[in-house]
Amino acid sequence: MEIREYLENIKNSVVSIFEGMAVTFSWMLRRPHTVQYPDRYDKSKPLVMNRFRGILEVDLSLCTACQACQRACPIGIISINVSKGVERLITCFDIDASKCMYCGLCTEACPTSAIHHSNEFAFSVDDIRKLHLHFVREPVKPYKPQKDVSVESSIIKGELILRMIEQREMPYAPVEKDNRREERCSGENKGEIK
Amino acid sequence: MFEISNKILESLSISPHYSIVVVILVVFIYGLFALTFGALFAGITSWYERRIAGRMQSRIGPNRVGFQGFWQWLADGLKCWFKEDIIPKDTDSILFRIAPYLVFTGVLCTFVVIPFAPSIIGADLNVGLVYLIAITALVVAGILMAGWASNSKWTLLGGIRSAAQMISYEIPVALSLIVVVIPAGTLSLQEIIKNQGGAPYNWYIFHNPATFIAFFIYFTAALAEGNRTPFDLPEAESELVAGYNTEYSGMRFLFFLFSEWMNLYVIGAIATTVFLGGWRIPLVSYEVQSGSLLLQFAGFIIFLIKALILVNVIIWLRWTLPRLRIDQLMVMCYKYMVPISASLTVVSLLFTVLYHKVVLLQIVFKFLLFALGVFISIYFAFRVYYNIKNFPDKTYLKWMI
Repeated sequence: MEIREYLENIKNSVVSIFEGMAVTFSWMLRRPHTVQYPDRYDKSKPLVMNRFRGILEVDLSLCTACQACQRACPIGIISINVSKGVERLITCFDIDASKCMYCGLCTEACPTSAIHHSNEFAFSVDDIRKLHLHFVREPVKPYKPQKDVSVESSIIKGELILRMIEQREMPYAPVEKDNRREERCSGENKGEIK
Repeated sequence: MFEISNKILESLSISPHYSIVVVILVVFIYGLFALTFGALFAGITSWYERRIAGRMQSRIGPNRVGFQGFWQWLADGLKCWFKEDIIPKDTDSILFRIAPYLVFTGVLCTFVVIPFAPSIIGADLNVGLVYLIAITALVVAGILMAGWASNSKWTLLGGIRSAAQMISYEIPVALSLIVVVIPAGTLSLQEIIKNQGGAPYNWYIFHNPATFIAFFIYFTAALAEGNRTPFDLPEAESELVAGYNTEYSGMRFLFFLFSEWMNLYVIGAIATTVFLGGWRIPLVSYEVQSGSLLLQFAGFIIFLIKALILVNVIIWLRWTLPRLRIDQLMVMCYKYMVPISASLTVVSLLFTVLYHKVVLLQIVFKFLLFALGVFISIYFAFRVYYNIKNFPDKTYLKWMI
């Protein structure tokens, strides 16, 4: 090795380490690039696109009890019960979200967009049975479509399901046996998964 | 420590029969202090390093456990504590069990001679520097033992690499320390600090051109000896899984990491002691400082700050430079560092003789080198500013924690 090359090597290493350290130090003074959930600095930007298929949500004020979604579901996780008495009442609207594969066929079948995908994706629970969502607490009247009235949901997309997840209570299934629910969901579809 | 125990004996007028009890008690308390200090330092550094790494790589880093993720190190430690202590079937069981403790002991033993303040030191050995260089050989033995006993290709390669690297780099470390020993005229660490002045231009780093270069050689070689990046070949993740600690789990694994992070402080403390004036306070003479308890504590804080700045530089280097190849590592040691540091000892000798003849020369060189150091710092700050200013995307230039 020539003496000139030797000195050149020393000079190069010293200069490059010096410059490299200046670069990394300047990066330390900058704001992190991390924009992903939950440490994003611009909270106004939505985390996902509007048509993202998150957990299923049902706006019962729009549900016509046509049961199209139940028929459309390829794995049969939706079970709807309608009482046929003097008055038609939705007594049971259960979705087993733990088995949902987010294909979106039920939302396409729905004539009023009562069942739709929310934008929520963080809904882990400590017990998988809690993902068996019961949307009907008390029997409700189905929605009657009217002529020349555009169907629009009264709730903000994701609001209902977010409240369910936050409150960690009904309509999550209580792990203990619920006799009243058994009563409501008796009949052909017992609210069980086929 | 013996000074303190003697003082206690005198002040309490305990009969000489019990003097050994007092000595043992004082030594035990100091050992506990050193162990706690080392463990706390290692733990907090593990969190701090990850934070710094995050920011330098434009990430955030661990910020979930407590304020800014401060308790992350405690969570990690607890996790390792509760993990199963796996000892693979075909290992050399006894060596496998001993190895982490040997490494840990090797690093902890350096705390015997590392000073904290004028009178807080384990033992002010008159061969302190030689002891430091000798005791770190225990780490080599421990790592080689871990690599051999695990009975795995990765660990064996890591162990052998580490043995080659650490023993090679002990030469430039020792030689660059000798550069300072020549003007200091002593091997005792307290004496070396005592001979330096409090003000920056009186430090040994600015004593003569040889010591100025020796500081950087010591720093680089100490990094290599402590298996830190860019010299972390023994545990190169991308090549050897985790090197010598591949087969370890639980607390034994944690002991390796403990010693690695404690070693950061040891590197910083030795560099502070030998080159950067140790616990000396500017414009306060040694007699005044050692007499006052408050000034001793101030010296402790100053020493800690200097050492922690160096630890910061080590962490910063880790996230700047890529890992060297094994042949590049050896070339760097034997072709560059050993000849340069050996010739620096000669230069240092010449300067020491020259300073005795012409006293004015010492003052001139002292201030010239100090000015050079200040110039390098200012130029560095300018380069950082340049890098920030010329970054095209201005949205990322705001501070955020």
